[in-house]
Amino acid sequence: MDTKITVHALNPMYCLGGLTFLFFVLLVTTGIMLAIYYKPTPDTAYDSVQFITLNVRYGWLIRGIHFYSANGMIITSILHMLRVYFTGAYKKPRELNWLVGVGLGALTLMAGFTGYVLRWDQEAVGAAGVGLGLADSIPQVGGTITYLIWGSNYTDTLSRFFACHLLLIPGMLLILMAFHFWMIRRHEIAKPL
Amino acid sequence: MLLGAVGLVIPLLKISEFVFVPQQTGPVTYPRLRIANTNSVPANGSLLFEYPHKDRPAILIHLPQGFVAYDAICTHLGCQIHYDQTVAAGWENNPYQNFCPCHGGVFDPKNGNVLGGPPPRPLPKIKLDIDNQGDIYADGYESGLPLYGEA
Repeated sequence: MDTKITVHALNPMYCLGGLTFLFFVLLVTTGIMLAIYYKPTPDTAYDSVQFITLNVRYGWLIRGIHFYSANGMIITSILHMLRVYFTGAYKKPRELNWLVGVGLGALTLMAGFTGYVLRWDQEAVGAAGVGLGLADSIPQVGGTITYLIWGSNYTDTLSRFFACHLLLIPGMLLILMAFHFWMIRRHEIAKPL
Repeated sequence: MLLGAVGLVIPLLKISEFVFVPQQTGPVTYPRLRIANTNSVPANGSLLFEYPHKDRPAILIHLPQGFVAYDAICTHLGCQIHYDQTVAAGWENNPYQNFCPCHGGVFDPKNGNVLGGPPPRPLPKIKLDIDNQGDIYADGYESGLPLYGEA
């Protein structure tokens, strides 16, 4: 398949989306490795993170790559969104792709939040409490959402965050990303202003 | 090209050692260190010292029942505890406490157990050995391992 890349798209600003995807690939790879040793129960979670960082060979490196890639993915996705906004690339016929991108951004932030909680130190438990409070403040459906996240105790909560972080959110990200990329091929890269 | 391939493959091979579960290291040994003489710590007095290595604070307390010593790092978030005779006086009918100023953790000076506040575990208790001259030696731990902040 022939691919035409227009000259204006060689600008580094047009690499931000690709960088976001590169970080995602790194996160999936290192995330699978971390999942080998991580134990999602309140009694063992923090100790298993310490074990990965201090005892497992190159565990500090893998965890470090996961951590910095997570931060990098959020930074580059926000910059990517700004680039698309200020070059007007969200306009017709690309409105739907903008909406998919907003969904990807929201999922990325959720992945960051759920991953932060998995560490299960004092900060993470506090963050989980704040997140539950935010969910609870949503009118009408807040109680139901809180129950879905909380379960009946902290053991349930951690399992649910674990499932969301490893399966639900990455799965949804993959589906939306496939759609995002397919639509870019379909519409081609937006012309400059 | 070849150099690039080798430069990529070797690090990846090294990093793949990640999947091998690390072996537990053998039992940790602790040094036997002289802390003080029995004459130098008055009854109900305390003395800060460093054990098992430099900059790791520990505390020696002269109770009516005798001498005891603990790791002096609060098991909550790692502040240094001190033997306080006033702040928590009267708690649980015990006038003297091991007290952490950060979040109000209180430990029993008799055995290191948590009496109040947020600490999740008792203080590690240091094994003491007093010789004929009255010199007090720290010689490992009786209970409470692992130490806070050290794997």
